[in-house]
Amino acid sequence: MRTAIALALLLAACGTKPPKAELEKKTVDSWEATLALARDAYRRGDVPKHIVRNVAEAATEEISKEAKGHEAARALAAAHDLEEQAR
Amino acid sequence: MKSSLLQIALGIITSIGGFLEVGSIATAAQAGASFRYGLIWAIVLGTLCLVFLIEMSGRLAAVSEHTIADAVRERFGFDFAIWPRLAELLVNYLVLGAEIGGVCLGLKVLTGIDARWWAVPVALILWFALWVGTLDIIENATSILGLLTIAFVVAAVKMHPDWIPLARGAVAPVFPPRSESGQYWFTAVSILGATISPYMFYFYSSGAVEDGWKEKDLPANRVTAILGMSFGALMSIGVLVVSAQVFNPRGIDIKRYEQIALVLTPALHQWGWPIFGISLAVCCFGAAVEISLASAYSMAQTFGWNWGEDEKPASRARFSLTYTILIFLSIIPLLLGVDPLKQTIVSMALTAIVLPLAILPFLLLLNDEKFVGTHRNGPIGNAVVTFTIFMAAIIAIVAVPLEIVGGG
Repeated sequence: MRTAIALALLLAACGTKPPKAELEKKTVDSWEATLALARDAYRRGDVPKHIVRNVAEAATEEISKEAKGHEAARALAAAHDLEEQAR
Repeated sequence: MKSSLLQIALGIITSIGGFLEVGSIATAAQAGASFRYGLIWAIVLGTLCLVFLIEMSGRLAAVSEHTIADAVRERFGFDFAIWPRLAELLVNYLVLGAEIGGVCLGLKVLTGIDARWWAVPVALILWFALWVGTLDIIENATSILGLLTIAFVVAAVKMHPDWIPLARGAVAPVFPPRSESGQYWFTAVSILGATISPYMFYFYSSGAVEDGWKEKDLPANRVTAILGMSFGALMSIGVLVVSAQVFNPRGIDIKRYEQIALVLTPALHQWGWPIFGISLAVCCFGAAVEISLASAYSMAQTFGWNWGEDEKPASRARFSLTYTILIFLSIIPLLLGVDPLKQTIVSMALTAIVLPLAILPFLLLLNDEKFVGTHRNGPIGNAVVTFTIFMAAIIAIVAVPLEIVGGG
């Protein structure tokens, strides 16, 4: 049992979380890339408006929850633009 | 009774359609996006263990005419049997909620109507199908529609993956940077939880008893377990690979199903989103059927109630009541706005926690002459079950610490 607990703690210790600022940047970059993927697909006519709106709404919710600052504001504006295009 | 060939064919189709569900789609998509091919080994390892356990479930049912839950109760007594069943029921409740959430998200992809609006209609349709349908009709309909999931493999091939790193990822872990190791191992645990789901053993062995399998069906059982689960795993690997090709190079981390809905678009263009929506809805509906029935089977067999999907509901009232209550309670988190992807990932990790309880009896029952006569486990079978129990025990201990550091 002691060995198992030690193993659990070791695994947990191996996986320390990256700093908050790094996580925020990763979140914003990830959603900007998702928005770009949806925008390109929409321009090619590969996805309908509601798929694009779903992505833009999800991006807005997640970025608002997870990130702050200039980059987050820029990504939120991109999400808003895309949502408007798909109305 | 079906002919052996038909039984194998249906088993394989069932596995292809039934292997993929909300957990395997979500965990494979997350794994591919975050770690490229670095977690294929987890699907391969989970499938290898699953093949052995499914074959043993079918063998026990065919030789002893006992389901797993029946045999556990008879061999170890009610007091031992009830606790693992209650723990599994709790996990099944969460997994069923996640599967119904998956159907609703599939319908959201197809229609644009919010997933929460679909929760009650989907629960009603699921309940109605179980109430009036027979096992064969429900299974075959969802499984044949589930063949659409082959699109994931087609898309993966069309995206020209790097075959050598892919093969390397299938045989050994590809370790990520230290800052991502918590997320890496948490995703690995979730994949194993999504692959080795205890409800599959109860569903498979109960289906075998309902279908009246005998010793002569053992070869068909073995072929079904090996081919069916392997084809199913191929679909799951297809999701991982296509996700690795589409999301990983763009730096996209999967946090929401809305992102996964784009996964087939680069390869299949305008067919991508409807195929994804239908696949998600159909696979999750098939899994919801299996979980609802498996929960009712295991409760009925543990408490000694009448059971059987092909019987009239009035003749197995408590069995029907169990899945009825479970279905309607399971949509509460979705109606309250719980994120289906987060519920899926947490429920897959909790599945991993109850795994040792579910698998331990295999080692004893499949070596007990009273149940399986001369068809006892060989050394390889016992070694695999022992390894799976050991792995499941480690996973059960590390799942919670890993969720704290890597669960997001």
